Amino acid sequence: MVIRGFARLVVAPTEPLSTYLPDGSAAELRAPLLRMDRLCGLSVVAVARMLAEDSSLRSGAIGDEVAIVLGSAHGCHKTDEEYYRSYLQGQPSPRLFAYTLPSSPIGELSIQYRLRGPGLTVTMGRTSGLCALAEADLLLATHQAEACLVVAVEVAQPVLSPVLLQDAAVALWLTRDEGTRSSELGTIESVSDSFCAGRGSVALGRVLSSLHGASDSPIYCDEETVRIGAAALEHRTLQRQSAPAGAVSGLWLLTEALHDAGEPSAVAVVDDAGHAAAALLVRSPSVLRGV
Amino acid sequence: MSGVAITGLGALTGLGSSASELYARLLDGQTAVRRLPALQGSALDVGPLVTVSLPGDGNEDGRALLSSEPRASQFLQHVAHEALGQSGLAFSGLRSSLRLGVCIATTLGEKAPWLHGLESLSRDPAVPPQIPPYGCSLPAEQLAAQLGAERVRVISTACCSSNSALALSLYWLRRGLCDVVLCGGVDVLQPFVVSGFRLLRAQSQEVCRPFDVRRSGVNLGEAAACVVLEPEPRARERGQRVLGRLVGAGLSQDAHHMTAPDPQGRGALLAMERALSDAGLPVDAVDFVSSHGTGTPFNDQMEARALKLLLGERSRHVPVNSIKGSVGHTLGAAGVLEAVMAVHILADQRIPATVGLEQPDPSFEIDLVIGGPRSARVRYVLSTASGFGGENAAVVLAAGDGGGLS
Repeated sequence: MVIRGFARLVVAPTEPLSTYLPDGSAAELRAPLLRMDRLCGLSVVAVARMLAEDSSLRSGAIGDEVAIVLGSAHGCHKTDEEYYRSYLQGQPSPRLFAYTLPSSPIGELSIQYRLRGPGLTVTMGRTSGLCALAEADLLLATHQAEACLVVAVEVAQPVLSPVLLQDAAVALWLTRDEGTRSSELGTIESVSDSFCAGRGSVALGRVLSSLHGASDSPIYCDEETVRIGAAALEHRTLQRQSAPAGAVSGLWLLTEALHDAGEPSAVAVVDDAGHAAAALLVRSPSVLRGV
Repeated sequence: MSGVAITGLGALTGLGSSASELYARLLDGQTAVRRLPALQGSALDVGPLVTVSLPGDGNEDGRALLSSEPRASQFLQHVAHEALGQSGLAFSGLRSSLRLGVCIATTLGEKAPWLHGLESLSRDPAVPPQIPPYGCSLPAEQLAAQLGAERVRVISTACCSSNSALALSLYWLRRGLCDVVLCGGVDVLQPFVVSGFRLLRAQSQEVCRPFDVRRSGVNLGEAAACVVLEPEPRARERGQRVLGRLVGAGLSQDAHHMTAPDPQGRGALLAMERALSDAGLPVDAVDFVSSHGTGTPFNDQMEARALKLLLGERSRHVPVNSIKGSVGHTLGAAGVLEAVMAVHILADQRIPATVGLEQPDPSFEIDLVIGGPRSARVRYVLSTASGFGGENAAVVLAAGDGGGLS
């Protein structure tokens, strides 16, 4: 699976998203953005930024053949909360209710970019982002899609989820690895994930052992992964990084690895409930060194 | 593409607590849709609904809809027990013997405790209570932990979540990522979703009428359903009867509107065509369509149009039904529930009628099963679903070893 484009953003919860729109798309996306909830807005802006970096991604793809896979640990919980408060106050909002589904960003992305391939939303805690990558890999490998847009997104909710202090999103554009090396940013060699109730380090151990060729690779992980997976990560070279919380974490670390261009690089993340792990092995072409 | 064997079924609906009860009562033309005494006179008395009673839960009047109990987890456990039991895979003893996948569809998860936490916070913001977890993936994770599953996913793609989960489970097994997959769907009713559908004016004030000229909206329902999927050679090896087969799946998006389907049915058609192509079957192979058939003016029109485009001249001769008038629109459970029904139809060769349908909309030009069950030769079933955001998912099911299932 080849990475052809990526973008990421972290936004303060009160900051307007329109300021993050790339210049070229500001006019066409500004009005729809006002209609959307924050989860959809973050997803659409992240994708707009990615497509602004490389317009060939969209123009080179047929909309019917592009899948969208979304990963989010907490999904639409902020919109859920806002809708339910409006209901409890006797003034329920139909506009808010329309966005009380974790899959709403897929709908908005498909509308904005005329994408009619398969759509999937994965909500598996902190590993949701990497699990979304695993399912994108599956859709591409089984020829259900020719390209896949993967988005990991989380909306901050400091009162109810103290770990989510910032809004964040990462978007990736993926295609099958067909041996053409031009224009690719990196290759995901394998994606693994495992579930092991209450034993995060065991789950992490399993996925690391399944990453063929990764034994000498530095592993990009955040502090939470180190804490949960200390036993499994023993004797491994760790590149500790900071990353936004939730499902964005894994894909964020992936983009860090792409920038650093360690070759080969591996990225691992364990979810904060300590019962699931997901990891992938990514190889970065040397052209990216020093980016 | 290769299909996979279905070796276990489980269903918990307003019509009963097992898959065979569901099918028997669907054939009888029964409905579980009714006004709930516990809601009468309240703002949630929005029209008839369907609730599920578990033994001893006292939910005959629908009061559980207002509770903070983790009912989605209970529902899922119930259907998993039934399906695994039928497939000869006991709840215990799975841990070391196989690579089990658990793929669960839901739109709401276990949201009730979280919503009650919000209510407490709303009453007294000065004293923030302990807010329970958001809970979207909770029922699936608990089940997966009990079963020792290795691969777990919670899939949420609105009202086609279940068919999306079936699709993903099929792809997993084809790629050899699991030995067996327990694929299920679950959603329980809460004030959250009931109030929302009322706002959208999508709730019918009578038993819903799928594809009827007088159709006026949905009856929300709660349910859970499960199927056990595995490669056929594996099922044969362990001497397990193949109840039916999941042979194809297709997913698509409308790219049209967040809350209204594409009136031309292009997205739904795309999903149906992809499912048949994935199964390696021509359109002519479709013997029966288990439709999404929610009873809303827009959905049914869109779906009938898509079916007409798909089936062409055969649209007047391929039987179509909807079970929404019997069990309600069960949201994230709907697709797997309809797959359970389809497996029974494939074994029994009788198609339940569409409860609530009296005067088919003549503009649809499709062959709706009406009045009573119809005997028909059914080898392949196309089951369709669509949801908010323009999501569509279709699956194709095929006959198993034959013989009755009840």
